[in-house]
Amino acid sequence: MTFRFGTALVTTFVLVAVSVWMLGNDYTHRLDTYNTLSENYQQELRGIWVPSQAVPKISYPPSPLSIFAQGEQRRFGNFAEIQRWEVPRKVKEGLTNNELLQSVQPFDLLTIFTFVVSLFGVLFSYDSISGERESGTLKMICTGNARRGSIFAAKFLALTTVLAVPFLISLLSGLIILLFVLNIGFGAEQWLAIALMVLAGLLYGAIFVATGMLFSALVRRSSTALITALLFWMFGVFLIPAAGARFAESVIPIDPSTEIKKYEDTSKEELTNKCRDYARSSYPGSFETTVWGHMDYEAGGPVTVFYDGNPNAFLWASLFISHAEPLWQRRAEEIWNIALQQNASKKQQADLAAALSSISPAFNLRMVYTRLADTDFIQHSRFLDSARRYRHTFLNNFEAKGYFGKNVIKFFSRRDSEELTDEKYQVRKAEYSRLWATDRDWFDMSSTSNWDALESLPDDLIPPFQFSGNRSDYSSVLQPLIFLFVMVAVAFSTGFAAFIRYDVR
Amino acid sequence: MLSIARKQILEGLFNLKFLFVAAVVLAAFAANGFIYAEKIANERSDWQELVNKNLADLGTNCGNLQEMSDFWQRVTRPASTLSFIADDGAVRMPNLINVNAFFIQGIERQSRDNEQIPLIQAFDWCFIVGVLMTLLAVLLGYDTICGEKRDGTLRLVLSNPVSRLSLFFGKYLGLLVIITLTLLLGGLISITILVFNGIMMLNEQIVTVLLWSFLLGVSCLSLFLLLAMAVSGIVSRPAVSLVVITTTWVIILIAVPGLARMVAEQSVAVPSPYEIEKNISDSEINFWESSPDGAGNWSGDPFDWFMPGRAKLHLSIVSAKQRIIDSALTQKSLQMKALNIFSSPSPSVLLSDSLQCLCNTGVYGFDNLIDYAGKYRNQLHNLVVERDSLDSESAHLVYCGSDGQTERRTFSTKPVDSSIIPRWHTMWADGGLPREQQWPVWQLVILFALNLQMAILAFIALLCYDTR
Repeated sequence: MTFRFGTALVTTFVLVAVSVWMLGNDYTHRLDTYNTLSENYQQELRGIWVPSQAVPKISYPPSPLSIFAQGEQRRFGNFAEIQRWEVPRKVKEGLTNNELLQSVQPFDLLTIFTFVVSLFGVLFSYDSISGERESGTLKMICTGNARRGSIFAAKFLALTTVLAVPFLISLLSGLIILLFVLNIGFGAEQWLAIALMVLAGLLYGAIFVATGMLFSALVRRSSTALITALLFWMFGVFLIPAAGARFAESVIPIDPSTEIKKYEDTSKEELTNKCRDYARSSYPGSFETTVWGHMDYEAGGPVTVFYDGNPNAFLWASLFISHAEPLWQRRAEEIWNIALQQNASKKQQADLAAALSSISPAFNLRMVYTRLADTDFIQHSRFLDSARRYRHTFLNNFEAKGYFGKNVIKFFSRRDSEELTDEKYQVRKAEYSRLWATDRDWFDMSSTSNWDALESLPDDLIPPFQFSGNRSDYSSVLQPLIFLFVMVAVAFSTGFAAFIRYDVR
Repeated sequence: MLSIARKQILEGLFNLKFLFVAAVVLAAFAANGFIYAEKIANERSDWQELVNKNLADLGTNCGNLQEMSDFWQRVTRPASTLSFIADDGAVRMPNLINVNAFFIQGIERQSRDNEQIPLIQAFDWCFIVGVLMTLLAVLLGYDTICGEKRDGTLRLVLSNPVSRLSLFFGKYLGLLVIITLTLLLGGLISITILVFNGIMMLNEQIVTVLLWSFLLGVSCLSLFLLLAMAVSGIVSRPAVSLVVITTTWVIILIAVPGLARMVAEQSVAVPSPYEIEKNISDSEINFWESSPDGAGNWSGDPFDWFMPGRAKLHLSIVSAKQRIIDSALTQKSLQMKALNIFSSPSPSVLLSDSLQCLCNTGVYGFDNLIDYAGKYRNQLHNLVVERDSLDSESAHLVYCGSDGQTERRTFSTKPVDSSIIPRWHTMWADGGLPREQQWPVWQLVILFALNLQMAILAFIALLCYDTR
């Protein structure tokens, strides 16, 4: 019950309680927003008139453990738009509305443990050996029956336990707030994840206790031990992760993101011209503009084609779509291939940065926490992977229905395709021609008022999306956990060796 | 007083602990120089590329006034030469916006950063001074008074004819000189590296900004020194003083901004992208439905494609849309400013806020980008209106999206001389700074006030010491 223990207890307790309370509320709010948004998107999807309007927006709910480790989830967001003409590369809408706020570290449990608990680890242990030498008690202890090894081990265990008490109490109070005040429940898997978080937190604290003892055993005076231990703390917590990333950035440079934009622009222009030429060469007369109108809308995006007017334009539009659609889809694949190359070099850089930073305890703790909370980049890329797979299913479904081939009329209209061949079509065509020749007021012919009587959209138009990525992947947590353990072992054994040779006078 | 200061300086300077930490700080400044020499060079070449692209595109689009007015330019905030002092923080701050003669919209981030690497602290002066050097200050100051109390030397000193005030200021000045020297030396190292790499030219504006940065840095460090001295004066043992000070330090650095972020998020509402989109489409539908004369539909005459009613409708839709987009952008930067205000009890945040203000980065860079993009849009719009008024065939209905088949005669389609089109890059001063440099006066005033307050507190703590 020393002063520092009291400070540690009060500080960690207050910080954790405040953070868990605020982030818990924030999580509930985000979950609500998520539910409203996905409901809105579903509604939008149900309200489409023709299949070409379908732009499903898929998503996954925020993870409840993000209360403990916000990670990258808020930066990356969790909604992806599935477009025919674009392979999803990034998430369209985020969980945060304001990207400017990212400049401030989220105040979550991970941050508190990273900075505050580790600092107390150092403060608890820096004078454990040299302080006792200064006050002369070390001489007394060492002249007793106890062997030096057991003295050192006992001190280490005792200090780690002392550090673990505020850590566990604050975590427990945080959990109580979540469970009983905010009514946020956890599943069995999440409890396991929390247990692993506790383990990682204890190992992390133990590293700083062991290092504090190491420096305390290496030098004669407590104040020197403190400075060196705090320097180590500074390196382990602040400097190494920052320096590792900066070093990786200068060793493996990545292309600026303009490259892909450049290709997007040039290929768009090229393809637009190609389609324009096709339209000009294929459709004579003034209707060029009608067909061209579609393409113009289409150029560069999956905006809806929906046309139900003049029968000639109807026919030409269908020809045009079956010509242009595969071209734009191929362009999307090509852009994705360039993005893949860029991602590969980014991955190399990120891997190097991770390898360099993995000597920092804080970095490993972050890895464990964000992985367990499913808020890291792995989760994000998994979601994007499944979004891409889903896009394939979505397009294959359209392909199977013949929307880009024989059934193309159904793709952009709800009229029966037979209307083009049978007498209904002839009647309509005659009607259109008459109207076109006389008062040209054919707009009402394409009005949507009589659509409900027509064939409805197929039920299986949009395949269901299931994202199973919210499963914690414990194998990838193993490596940083082992690293943390090794760091404890190294710091402890070096400190032990130093203490064996320590001059107690 | 001066002899006490001299003693304190000598004691500090030739102390192994200090030399150790100072070496780390100086190495960090050198690393900062090298990192930013490369980073700024990259940013500059990306910026140059974009400027050239925009110029070339303007050249090809100036054949038709309508096409020119509709052409989207992707404009970025220029690479700030001073980003080594204050970068955007641990961030990927949006730095690009799309502009034409009617709109600014679509903020993005364009840079070489890698989203696969977790967000980390930028290695700028804000970090070195705000984190590394404040720790140095705390470590220098934590036992100034209570150490002497423990050793009993304070009693000896005070029994001499030395006033407590001169003792206090002597100690304070000594420590301040040490830490200022370290900052000065480190800053010079980093500046030298950047100047030798050809990244920075020392013109008047940049030198003034550098002097301001030093002043702000020193006042922030002095605040931490005074804090350490105050705690040191209140408690009786260095060990206790150390625990109190380092805990306070870590709370100031980590907890205050983090909590302020959460408070800011809850106190200032920012519409989500979904809401913005919905507002825009709602207002558009509203305009179409409430518009008189059938939304200015085509009259039916195949030779009359001119539709003034439609043009006016578009004009009002466009201005409503821009209002919605602008207000969302304003809310975003307002929320960020609220965050800065809520976290201003933390001197480190005050420091980085004021340095970002000087260097045109962070929220200030964002604000300037939006502000300049708005001005640029107005310049383009004025040009279009002016050129249009010279065209006798035009109906002078200048609005966005007029490039369609039907509304061709709403405003002029005559070519424009490309040399009179305003240029984005000429709006900025050298080194990516805004032409009207903002000075972080109120931040400096707050820092001074906090310094004064802490000095009084520390002095009172010393006065309360009982020599007996």
